[in-house]
Amino acid sequence: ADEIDVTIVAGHPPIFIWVKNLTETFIPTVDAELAKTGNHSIDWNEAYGGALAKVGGESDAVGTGLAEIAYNPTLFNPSLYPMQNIAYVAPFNSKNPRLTTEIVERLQDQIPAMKAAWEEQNQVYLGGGFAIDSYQIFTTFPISTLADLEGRKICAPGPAVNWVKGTGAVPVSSSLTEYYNSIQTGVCDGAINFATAAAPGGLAEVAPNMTIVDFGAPYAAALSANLDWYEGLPEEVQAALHAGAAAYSDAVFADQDALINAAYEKIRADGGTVSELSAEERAAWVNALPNVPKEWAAEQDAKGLPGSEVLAGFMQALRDAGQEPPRDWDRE
Amino acid sequence: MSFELAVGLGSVFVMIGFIWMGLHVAVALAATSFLGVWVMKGNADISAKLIGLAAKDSISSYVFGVIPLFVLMGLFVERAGIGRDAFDVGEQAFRKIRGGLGVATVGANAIFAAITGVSIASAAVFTKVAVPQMIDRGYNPRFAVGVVAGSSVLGMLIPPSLLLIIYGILVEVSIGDLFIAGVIPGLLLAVCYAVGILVMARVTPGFLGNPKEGAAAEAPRLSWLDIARKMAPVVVLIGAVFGGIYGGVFTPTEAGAVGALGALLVALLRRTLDLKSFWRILVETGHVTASICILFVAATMYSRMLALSGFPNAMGDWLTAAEFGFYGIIIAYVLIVLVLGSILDSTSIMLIMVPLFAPPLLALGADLVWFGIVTIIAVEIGLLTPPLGISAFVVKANLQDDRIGLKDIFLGAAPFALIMAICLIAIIAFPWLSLGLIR
Amino acid sequence: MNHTTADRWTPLTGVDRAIGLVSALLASLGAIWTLGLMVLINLDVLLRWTISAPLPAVPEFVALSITGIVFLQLANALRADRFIKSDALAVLIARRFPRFGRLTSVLFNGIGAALFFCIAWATVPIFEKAWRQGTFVGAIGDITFPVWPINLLVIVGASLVALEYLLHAARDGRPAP
Ligand code: NA
Ligand code: NA
Repeated sequence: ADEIDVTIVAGHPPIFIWVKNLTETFIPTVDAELAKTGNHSIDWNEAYGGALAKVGGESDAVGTGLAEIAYNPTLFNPSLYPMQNIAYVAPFNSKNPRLTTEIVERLQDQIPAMKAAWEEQNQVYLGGGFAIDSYQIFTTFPISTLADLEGRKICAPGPAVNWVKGTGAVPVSSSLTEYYNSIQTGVCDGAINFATAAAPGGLAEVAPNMTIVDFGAPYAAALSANLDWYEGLPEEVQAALHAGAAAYSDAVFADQDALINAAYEKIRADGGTVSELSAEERAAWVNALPNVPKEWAAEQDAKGLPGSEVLAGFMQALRDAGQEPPRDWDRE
Repeated sequence: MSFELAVGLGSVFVMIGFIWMGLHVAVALAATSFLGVWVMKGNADISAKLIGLAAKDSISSYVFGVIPLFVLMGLFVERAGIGRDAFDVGEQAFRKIRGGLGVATVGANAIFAAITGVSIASAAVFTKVAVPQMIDRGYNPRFAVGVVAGSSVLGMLIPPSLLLIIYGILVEVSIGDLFIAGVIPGLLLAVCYAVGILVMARVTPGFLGNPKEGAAAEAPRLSWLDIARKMAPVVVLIGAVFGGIYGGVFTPTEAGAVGALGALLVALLRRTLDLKSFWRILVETGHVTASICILFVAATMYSRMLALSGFPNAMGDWLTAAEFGFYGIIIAYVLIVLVLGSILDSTSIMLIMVPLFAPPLLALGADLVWFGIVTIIAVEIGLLTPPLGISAFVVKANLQDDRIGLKDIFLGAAPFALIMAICLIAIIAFPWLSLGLIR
Repeated sequence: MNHTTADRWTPLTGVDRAIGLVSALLASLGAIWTLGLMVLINLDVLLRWTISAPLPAVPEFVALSITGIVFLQLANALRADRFIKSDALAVLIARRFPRFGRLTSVLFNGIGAALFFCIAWATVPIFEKAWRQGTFVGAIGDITFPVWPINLLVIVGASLVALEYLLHAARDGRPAP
């Protein structure tokens, strides 16, 4: 039996379920698959928490051959994986992470240019797609109507600055790690965040009003392998990696389900209140936004990428799944 | 031991050898990383790629923006004469005490720590402000740089603190709790430093040099008006930065820019700044920023090479297998951090070690806020230990005095590293020192 | 050993003068950029505080800038002998064994040159990729900054540092007068 050296990289530390399950699900599943015949085995070197690459640098680490396999958070590389980021571009889509992941993976199978994004980075898509639980808003003040947002400063991650434009709120470009401090010091009056990240960070301590807006549960990451390395692997090993990735996806989603309930409990324990935005106000919010998805699609089209096709395919898949998107970003 | 592990371990000795032979530290770290990856992967091309990626992304983050800004603030503050004024007043206050100016440096650092989140900013500012003053007053240069390097660590223990923020993100504990938990240990360390200086003044007077504190007592005293005039800019500047942070106008990370502008305005109002000195300050800021940041780039290359070798993981595995128990693991952890602290930068150490040790310790009932404070102090001791001691390097980079070598800074800082170690033991033994204000 | 600009004993050759001029020029750009960051952040704070209208994507711009600022100023910092080193032992050895000291000095400056050429060389494909794919920071629909100019500055800055190291090596390689 031959032993294969594999370095697997993730910028986040193992405290996050998507890293923890590399160790607890992906690796054991691959090992178990290989043990069935005993022809091959893998000597794993796990490099997490910025040890080998920082968040967003995983793709480069695997593309250049520094590591063999990456937890590849596409959301931090909107210019390398533009199409994969469609759910960040077109908000108010679906609050079901499994559905968004399924749609993006299906689009990727249908539209060659989407798959080509991985080859362009010298990588192969192993599976293991993952979407974040639906984004909500956490504020220092209660929100019952859109007017409550007038003049309020809202911290938002990268592309999400576009989710509050035109609402009267002022987007402040920021990142997950800075929300707590920024709100405590008054730089922002609130932040766009998801429950499973807001809860452990104690965000409700400073922004106790959680309002369910459901910006959507965007596809955010997947597992990928270095293309040259992958092509040199025996078929049996390739199959084991895909099997491991599939099991990983299931396990991360199962953990996410369990965490969401715990997250709401933690938010309430921190003194937070959870309320839902009414359907009319949510509609008012959506209708106030400029059509950034269309602008984005045009920009991709100009680069020779199927931006409009991906946007239309994404929206149609949502409609086909009975989602009733509140805005037809693709048809306006 | 696997081949990769042997390379990882061997690289430590190669790097230290290079540094001892006088190779620029950044070059030593980067060259060792290059060789290490080459030997492990049998492919120089991959080595080059690691080097290129680290150059591209290791300092490309918002927090690094504060480095040039805090350096700039420090230089403007110095140019405005604010530092000299503060020390005139400090000298007046402590003039009858042997070692008084050393105590004043520690106190000034503790106050400055409350407006800065990075220790290197403290080291940069007080190298400019305090070292020349102390040497003028007859202090041993080695002691002068030691006090500054030693008390600079207060910058990341007393909130706000970049390291506490990184830790809070890493293990998901409230950053607010961590900040509050850092207050008592920070003040404790400052007090221990002051006591340590007074004790050294009596027990080992030679180490302090021959300060003219007694003679200064006969010098004409400052009137209250003089004191007010000298302290007004300090109060205004600290008030603006403090008020800004706690009054909800800007983040601690923006304080650097606001502070720099404030200090610039003070210098302009005092007419201490002409176009030539203004330009010199900008160029100097560039020198300090470049020499510190290239170190961060190289340290990133090195820790990535180590990660590839699997060395950090092997260490964690060995630890779990050895069944040390709670205090056994804590002691082992602190010792490893201290050893790593001699060769790696604070952030890298935390990123590598905390995820390894937090889970087993949590399982054994540790409070992660307490563990955070323990971690910060242990990691910060590494700022003062050779061969890679960032605080000492920053002092050196800001010191335009060839007579004081890096060796002098490390030796001068040694007593302060020792005092930190004693405080660390106290905080490990008495968790209420860190948890008292929050639990 | 490295010489500071002040005690350089070799006659200034044309190459030396040219490298010095270019590195001073780049460092000036970096200095102005730093000052610009200070003004930008203050403006952001002021606008946010007074009229709730912060500038867009300032954190992204700062993150992008810092690498550019550092690589613009590196060569000038090396020229001013500001790279951090621990040379107590080396100075001692060089005093006892001057020829050995000169040899290690040439060798170490050579390593520095090789390393920074390597950084420049390894950044070329990174630059090409960023250029080809239009890699940016920020968000489409808000404001975006291209990444390639920063990659280009890394190539230029690292190459200049390598040349400066070569210059040091050549100078230290000459026998003492
Ligand atoms: Na601080
Ligand atoms: Na150290």
